Amino acid sequence: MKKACLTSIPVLLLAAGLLWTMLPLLYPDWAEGKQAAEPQVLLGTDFSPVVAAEARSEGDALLITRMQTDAAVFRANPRFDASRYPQLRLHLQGLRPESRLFLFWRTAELPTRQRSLELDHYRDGTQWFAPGHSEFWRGTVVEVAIGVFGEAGTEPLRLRELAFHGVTRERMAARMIAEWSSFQPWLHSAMNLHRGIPPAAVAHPNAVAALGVAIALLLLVIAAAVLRLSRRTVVAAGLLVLFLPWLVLDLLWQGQLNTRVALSRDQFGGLDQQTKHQRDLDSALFNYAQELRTLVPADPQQRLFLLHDSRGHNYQRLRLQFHLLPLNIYNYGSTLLPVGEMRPGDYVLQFGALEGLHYDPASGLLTGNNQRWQALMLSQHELGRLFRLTRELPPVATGQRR
Amino acid sequence: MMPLLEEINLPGLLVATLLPWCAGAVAARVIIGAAPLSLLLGHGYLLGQLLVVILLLGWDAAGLTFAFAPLAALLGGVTVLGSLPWLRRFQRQRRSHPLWPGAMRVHWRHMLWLLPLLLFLTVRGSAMAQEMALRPLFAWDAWMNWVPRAVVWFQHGELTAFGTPDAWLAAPPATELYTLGNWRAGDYPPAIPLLLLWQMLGADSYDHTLLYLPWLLLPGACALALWGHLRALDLPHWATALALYALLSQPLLTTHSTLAGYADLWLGAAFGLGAMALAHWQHTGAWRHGLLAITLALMCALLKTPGLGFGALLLGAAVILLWRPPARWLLASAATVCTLLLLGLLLGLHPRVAELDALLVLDLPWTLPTLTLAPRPLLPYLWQALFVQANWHLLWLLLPTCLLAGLAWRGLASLHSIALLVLVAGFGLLLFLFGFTHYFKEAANFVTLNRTLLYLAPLAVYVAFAQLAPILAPDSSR
Repeated sequence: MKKACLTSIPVLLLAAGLLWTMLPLLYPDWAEGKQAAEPQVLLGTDFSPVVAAEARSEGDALLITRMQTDAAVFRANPRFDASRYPQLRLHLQGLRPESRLFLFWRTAELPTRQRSLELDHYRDGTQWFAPGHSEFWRGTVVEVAIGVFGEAGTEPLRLRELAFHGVTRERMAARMIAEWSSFQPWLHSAMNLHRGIPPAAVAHPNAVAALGVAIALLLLVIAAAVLRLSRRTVVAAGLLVLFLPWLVLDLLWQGQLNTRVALSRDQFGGLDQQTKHQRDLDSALFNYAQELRTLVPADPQQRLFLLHDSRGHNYQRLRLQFHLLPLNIYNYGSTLLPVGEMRPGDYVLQFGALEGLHYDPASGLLTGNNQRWQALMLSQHELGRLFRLTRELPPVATGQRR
Repeated sequence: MMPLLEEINLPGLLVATLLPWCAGAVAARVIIGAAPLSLLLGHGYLLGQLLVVILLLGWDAAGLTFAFAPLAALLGGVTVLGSLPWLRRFQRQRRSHPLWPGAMRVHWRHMLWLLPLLLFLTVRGSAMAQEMALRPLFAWDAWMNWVPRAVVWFQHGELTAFGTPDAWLAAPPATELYTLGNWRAGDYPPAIPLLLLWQMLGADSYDHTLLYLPWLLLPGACALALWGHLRALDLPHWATALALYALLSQPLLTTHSTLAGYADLWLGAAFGLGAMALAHWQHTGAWRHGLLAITLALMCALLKTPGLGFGALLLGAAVILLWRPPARWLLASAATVCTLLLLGLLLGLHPRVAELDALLVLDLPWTLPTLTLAPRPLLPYLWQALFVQANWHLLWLLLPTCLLAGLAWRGLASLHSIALLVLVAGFGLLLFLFGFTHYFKEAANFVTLNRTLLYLAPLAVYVAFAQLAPILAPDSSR
């Protein structure tokens, strides 16, 4: 095992060195000497709060403590050649996950034309972005602004620094580390794939690790032939070469998990199941379903049609169906079905606004899709209306079923 | 912590979780005879769930209303009866032999290698357990397809029928028929909702995060079986510990165990453990492991519709082990099929071929879907899923590396492995489905591709390390 360690570690280091020299291949804008540029660093106090209800400075940082109608914009006036700085590092705190973040700029060549780029932010604090991917990131930049749009959070927006960087290996590595260790919350797509990076990241950690391991394994084969290593040593060294980068990838994943658990603890910790539902994303649907379940008998022969203006797997309608269990639900379509498919005694839930369904409270007439029913409205709620069909009436005219 | 435990019948939930495991371990002992505890517990976990499924189906077929106490008593009684001969023999053997059977006896020097694994299990397991206990049911298909059937069955105390929405609309009045949010989900196999129903009956609740404990324990059971099978090949402790880490650290496996409710991990476990049992049969000549594999093939079919195909692969492999055709036939057949698949996939990359809608339409029987056949440009998506996205760490690099190492030092003899054949067949089945049918779109949007690769992941880890066992085994020549 000692021999395996003594072989695998130099081989891995050599592979890492080769990867380091190959870093430019990962980035298409590497060429043209951009890597020589010194960073253009703008501190928070270099900015002015051009859209804000209240702002103040604190050390080197500029704080917008109150947004102006869900908008906040910091502006500064640097002067640099955009083409030499294809990436930026932003240190901004207080950003909500739902907020939209923009970079705005003007150039000396076209001073009346404001350009913008939406930045897919992935963490609170330091983040890297690549304005160089925008076709308009060229010319002499004379004005930059950072805009935050959306509902304000509880914390003030604290801009500490905006730095424009050229492409050097060190900066590339720093950016990759920041992106790979950035937090990504649980998404419904988590069951299908784990990307491991925020959108528009410069490189995938797995691809980089796999490339490094492939190089290291090739080097190991050469070393084994030259040093006449025993096959057991080679296999053990090969496993080390594979599993040391594996461990690094796994630490990134463990970091994700730990943060997700911490957030879940904040959201659901110490709560009973009912209260957890109240804190969940779909609490409004849960509460509405609780109300509806008192109105519709949980008899398996008692049918409920859930009508909603959506097609395919719509989260809202499917989630409401789940919370309504064990009611017997037909969860398709957005209007009434022909006589025979709907029957007297059936319940109809109009979930959300539906153009194809009309109810006249005076006459108790429920119409849609050329079908007419005498119906009782049992509940009216901001999320929908519940009816009970009492008597079928002749269709108003023949028509196409939706 | 207290609100978490107050709302359910905790002793019932613990019995529901642990009793099937005990019953399954006894069933594994009955099927395969004397075996290391790791194998009995690993396979026993899945067999126990299968026993629960059969018990609930039989109970309902007998017209009885579900109630946990009599069901648990019956399962417990069967477990005690099944374990009596074993316990008597165990008592006799204990006088002359150590307590733990061979493969579970671990020397303190080997424990040094196990300590990092135990540390990893503590850190990862604790994060997974917390997340599972904290977050209400999250996984989409779980609340859309699988859990609703269990909730309805729990509430009505019987297996109320589910069908397609068309059947629901056409059903005469007074029919008790349910339908689900996914059009075909009413026809899905029953094992997953039945496992959940069992937990609900034990906990006396249909809405609680701890109902999903079986998902959390499943990777552990897989790891135990993997340990037993690899140790049976004389793989050193340190390499076996590494294999367990390779299995348990995979992000998608962690996600499916933590955000519980999907069937994919169960199918991966049943298929993988079935193939490992076949490999054990091939390696040791212990034919009773073939019976275990056939039982797990049945489990595959009860878990998910694709499980019919993967169960059939296990049965086919068992037939091959019985028939024992010349190895060169098998190698030639496998090489031919792989070459044709690869050529087809390369053909699918051609822009004009990719425009083809259907060359052939294949109507499958029963509730199976109709397949629209034509070559599709699958390879770039497969590349993304295997080597670029962070689903598997470096598993799909480990596997070919180990296969190449086996080939380099053991030649073609390294390919004489039923587990490898089953893995290639499973991979071929997925390549066919996604590379030559309309299911390609499910691969291109990454909704299904990685989940189906999960069926192969436990077996891939076994195959990779089994290739290394003859090289690393203590008595192998240097």
